[in-house]
Amino acid sequence: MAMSQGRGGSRDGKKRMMRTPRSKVCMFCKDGVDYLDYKDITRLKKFVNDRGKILPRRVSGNCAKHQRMITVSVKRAREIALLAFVSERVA
Amino acid sequence: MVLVDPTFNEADVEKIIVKVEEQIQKSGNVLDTTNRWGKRKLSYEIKKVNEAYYVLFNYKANTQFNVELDKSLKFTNGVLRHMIIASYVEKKKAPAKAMQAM
Repeated sequence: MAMSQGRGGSRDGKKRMMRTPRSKVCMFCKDGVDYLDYKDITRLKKFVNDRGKILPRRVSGNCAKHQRMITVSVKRAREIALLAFVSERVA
Repeated sequence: MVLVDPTFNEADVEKIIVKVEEQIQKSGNVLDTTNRWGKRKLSYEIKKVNEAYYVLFNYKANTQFNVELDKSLKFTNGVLRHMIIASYVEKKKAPAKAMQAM
């Protein structure tokens, strides 16, 4: 994750380069995926955080079309208990 | 996709599977495959149970039948959960055709 430094540079007074975010490419567009199966849990798990929440596009870097596919598939997988709705936070 | 209660023994699970298969075939629909995933751990508890037999049916039918099957599965004893969804059918690519015409 990129750390935001603010306008005045870093706290220790040294000037640091602002990190320019790398342009993300949708993984599914790259592979030419037309359909995402709800049974493919290993793939879906990559787009869900440790609490079971769906990762936003800003994090996963997916395009709108494929993000929609992910949400539908994750929700289907949750319905038949292949994925969890909520996971308990590990203390 | 049907989730069957794990407290049932193998024979009873098989009975439920056969019953669903018969129901699909009885109405003149085409049953493509029956995929038995077997016993799997659930991601969360359903009806105080942490495991279930997963069975996947692939069939061709009309909407009316799907409504009937949905209703009957709801009231079938031993079925923890079920889900009926339209499977993906690959679309014919139109741009490729246009390219050919050129």
